[in-house]
Amino acid sequence: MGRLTDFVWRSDFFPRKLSFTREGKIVFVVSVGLGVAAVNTGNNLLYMVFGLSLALIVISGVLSESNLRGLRCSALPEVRPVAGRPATAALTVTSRRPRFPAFSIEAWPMIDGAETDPARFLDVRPGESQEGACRMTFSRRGEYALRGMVLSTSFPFSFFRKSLILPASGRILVHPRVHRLRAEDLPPASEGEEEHRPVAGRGTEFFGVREFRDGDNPRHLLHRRSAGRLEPVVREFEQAASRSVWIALVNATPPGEGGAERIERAIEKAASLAVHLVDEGRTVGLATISGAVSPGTGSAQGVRILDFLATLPSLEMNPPGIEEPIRAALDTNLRAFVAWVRP
Amino acid sequence: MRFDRFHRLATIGTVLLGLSALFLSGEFGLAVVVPAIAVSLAGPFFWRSLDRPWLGPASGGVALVAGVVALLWALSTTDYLYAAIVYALFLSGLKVLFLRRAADFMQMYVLSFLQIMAAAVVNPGMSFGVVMLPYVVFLTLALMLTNLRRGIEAQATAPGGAGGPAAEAVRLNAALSRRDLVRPGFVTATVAITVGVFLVSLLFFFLFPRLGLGFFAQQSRRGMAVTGFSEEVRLGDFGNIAEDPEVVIRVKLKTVLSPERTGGGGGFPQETPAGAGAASGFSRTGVLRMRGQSLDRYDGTTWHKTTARRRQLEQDIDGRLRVDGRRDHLSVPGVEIQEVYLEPMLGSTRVLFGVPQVAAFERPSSALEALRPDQWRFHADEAGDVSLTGPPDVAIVYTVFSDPRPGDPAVLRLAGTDYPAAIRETYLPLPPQQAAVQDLAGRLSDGNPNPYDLARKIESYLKDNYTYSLSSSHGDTDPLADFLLVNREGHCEYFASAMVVLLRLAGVPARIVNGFYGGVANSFGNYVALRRADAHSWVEAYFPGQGWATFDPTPASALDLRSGRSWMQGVTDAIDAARLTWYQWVVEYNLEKQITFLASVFQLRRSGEGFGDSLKRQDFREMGDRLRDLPWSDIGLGFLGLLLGGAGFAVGLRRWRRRGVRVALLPPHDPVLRAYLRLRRILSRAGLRRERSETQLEFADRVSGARPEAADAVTFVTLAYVERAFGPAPAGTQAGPPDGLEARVDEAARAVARTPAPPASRLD
Repeated sequence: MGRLTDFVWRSDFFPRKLSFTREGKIVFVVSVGLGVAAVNTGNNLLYMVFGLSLALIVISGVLSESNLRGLRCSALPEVRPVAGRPATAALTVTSRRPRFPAFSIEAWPMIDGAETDPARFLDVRPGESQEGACRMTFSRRGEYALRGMVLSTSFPFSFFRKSLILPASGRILVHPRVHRLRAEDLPPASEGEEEHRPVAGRGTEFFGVREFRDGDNPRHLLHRRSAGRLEPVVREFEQAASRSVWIALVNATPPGEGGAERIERAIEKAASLAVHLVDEGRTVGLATISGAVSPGTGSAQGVRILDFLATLPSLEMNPPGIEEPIRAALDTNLRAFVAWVRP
Repeated sequence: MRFDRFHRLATIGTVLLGLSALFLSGEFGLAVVVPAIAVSLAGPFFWRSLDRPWLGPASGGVALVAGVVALLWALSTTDYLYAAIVYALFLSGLKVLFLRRAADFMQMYVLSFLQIMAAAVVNPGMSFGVVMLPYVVFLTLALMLTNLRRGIEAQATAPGGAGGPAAEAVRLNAALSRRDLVRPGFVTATVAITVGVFLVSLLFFFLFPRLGLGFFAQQSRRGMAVTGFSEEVRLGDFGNIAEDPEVVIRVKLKTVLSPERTGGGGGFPQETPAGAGAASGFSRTGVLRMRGQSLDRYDGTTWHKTTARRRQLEQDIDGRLRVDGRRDHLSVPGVEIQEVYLEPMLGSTRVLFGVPQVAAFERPSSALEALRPDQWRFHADEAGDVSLTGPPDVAIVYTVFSDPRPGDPAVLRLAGTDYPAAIRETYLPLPPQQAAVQDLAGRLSDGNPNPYDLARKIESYLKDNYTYSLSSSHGDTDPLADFLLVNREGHCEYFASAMVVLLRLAGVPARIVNGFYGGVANSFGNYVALRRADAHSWVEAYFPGQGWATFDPTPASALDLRSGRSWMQGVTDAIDAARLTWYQWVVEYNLEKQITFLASVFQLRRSGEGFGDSLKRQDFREMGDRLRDLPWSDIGLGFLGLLLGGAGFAVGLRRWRRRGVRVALLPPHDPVLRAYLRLRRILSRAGLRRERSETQLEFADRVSGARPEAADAVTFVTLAYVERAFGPAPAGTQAGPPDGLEARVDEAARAVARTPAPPASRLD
């Protein structure tokens, strides 16, 4: 049943959608019972009450149709919702009817995968436009398709909800969640700032020693110490604080359980970093395996990065050297600080 | 008025009307009625004082306990319906105290609707119909207001609103206090919707097929008890009902009755129905005698029926049930036909009434009668009285054919005294009578060898020397002697009994007959209504070769008083006519009437002239013939045409709407749009039509390639249109059209006309 309802709602063949409300289901069951009782007993007064219940149902269908007639809904304005956080969009419903107000109207965008709390309009008088707020909540980042604008009413008796789907199309980019970052997750402050926290990076000052990782420059190998520890170790340098930051996001799903969740967390961390750094006024770029966003500043750059992250795929394979595209992008700006984000 | 107050008032109205439909059945005592009404009146406005968090769960517990009690009560009394209704009333009373949110109101209406359903079972009276009309109005209004209330609540408590629950409550209260929601327009719309609901209800009611045919149960209403029509009638019982105005029989006369016939020469007033001169037209004081049952044995205090052996009457070829098996009764001129609507009476065997002498009956609905398991059966006993067996508590409609021949005084005087033995044995015995009574009989019969004249003399004697009284009392030992010799006043039973005893003492076979006499002509329904107060006793005397003749010794003046019209009679008549219509067209509406109704719509049969409006097999045959004779091929072609026309209309409408959407980019009178459309028409005539896949500019490019002479003009006009339709300036705010636009269209037209169209080529 649920699948059938879902099919009907998704189908573009039916411009009207009709669904029972809870009260409507009760009335329907009572009506069926009344009909059975009337036929069984031959009691004409039961037939009369049965006729009344059927009349209420029929009139309800007719009036709900006429209640939607002549109404228009504005297009969904440009919104950039964040996953898991409700976004509000202003919708305008206009009545083009010469007479009779429309009652109990609800309007919302028809978006698969989104929870919507409709904009409600108690009465829209003839020729009047009213603005209402619609709330949408998307559980995951991504690109969502707008399938139409829905005008809906349960007027007059709350037995049914009749909905009219007005044609509309568009894409809605849902940004990944943005969290407050811990201090240790933040890159070092830029030159001239009061606080300077040394971190490992591409600077020239010695920072420490650590084990060799894929991608390390072989010239930084400490051969004698490697021989003593029976594993390759490299010199690590202090990152020179810079106003430019590259966020290097490895969008490859790590092996093992929970990989998809970890990549999502990584994307959210990258998004959080981007927002934080842009707010600090720094030049921020994003490099991923799937592509890059050139460094830039300002809130527009933040939106660019979040838009990119909204649809960033998580790669299912994770072979050695998969980070090469990222490093290639980073090589275009060697002075920038690189903040690595790995799942 | 504030929305909340208005909504609560509408709710009170709905609940009270639901209760009224139930309580007007008379099945519920004051212990149920008064609290239910009081709580329903006060509850919706006192809910705030009961708005405590713990009261909700507590009321649920109370409802549960009450449910258990109701169940036990139902099991112990086996009156499940009554227990269920009382429990529903209790739930309704409980719910009405907690009307806070829209869902509470909806639950209240569901309970009210259940009460209406229960009322449909226990209250078949017209009061149900009287209540239903305002109930539809109030329920419709209340449901619409609840819908608005739901919207108000959703707006006020929408997620993301400022503040917490307290702020929500404030917003909700403010919204519910709005005065601008319920305006005169809203009320007018509600009334219009109510009319729609009512009409659609009626449509469903009349058209929904009555397939049940009453196999499981039949529509019934409580039968009334009418004294005097059982096989034993104690002398004096009629006096108890003489003031009861409840209508028992309604009679429509299909033929004119003669005054002497209906009166039988025995006190029937001259202002008889025949005076009106039309079968269905009565004088306003229409008086009718409807014979019911005769009683033959008198034991001194009680009349008995000893001729109870009955035989079932069979339909003859005409579908009529003849009382004595003779057909000649109905072939004589002036046969009198009455259609009778007999109210439900207690008992499964019911006496049938008709104007004397009853010759035959006809039962309507014979065509569908065979389908019923609970068929009616007509019986006649040895005395010629007709009774009916069938389902109790159901009204019955039948037609009576009365033989007009008996009652001619000249013939009756010559009838003689050669009575058959069976008549003598049955209608002459008497209990021992006091000597004074025998003396009285002897005095009255002196010098009157002719039984008819003797009967007339006794009749006149009683009329002239005795007083009609409903309040007189007579002893239990020999009430008749008390009436004749001491008290000298009594009601019709005493008069009739006295005459029968005096006739039998004089050797004339006689019997007492109970029936109805009087009635009120109802001008609204064109029928005579006979009430319980019109119950009457009179006398039939036997004349050899002629049968039974009617005599009525009760003083006519007393009977005239009973038939008098009160100043409220017009109102009473209207109510009774409405009640009859309610019973016939609502309570007793069945498949036969449904078919009759449809047949009358198709003009297959006249309807509305009788109580029954029944169909016979012949009518069904006629309907079948007419249906067969319909031009089915034409109807099929017409239907096909309609189908094609409808499809064409739908396609046209769809195209027109699409066109409307496209044109909606610019108003239809926009000069640039008009110029562009003119250009398109000119190009179209020249064979240049825009493809659906082409934009306007692509089309202009193609035209320019095909007709270079027109390129400049076409491009100019197209650009003007594209700028107008798709440019940044909103519709209605653009400047005027570019100069020379129409001239450019003319230029394009000339250029296209000069240049012949290039030959079509597949290589293009």
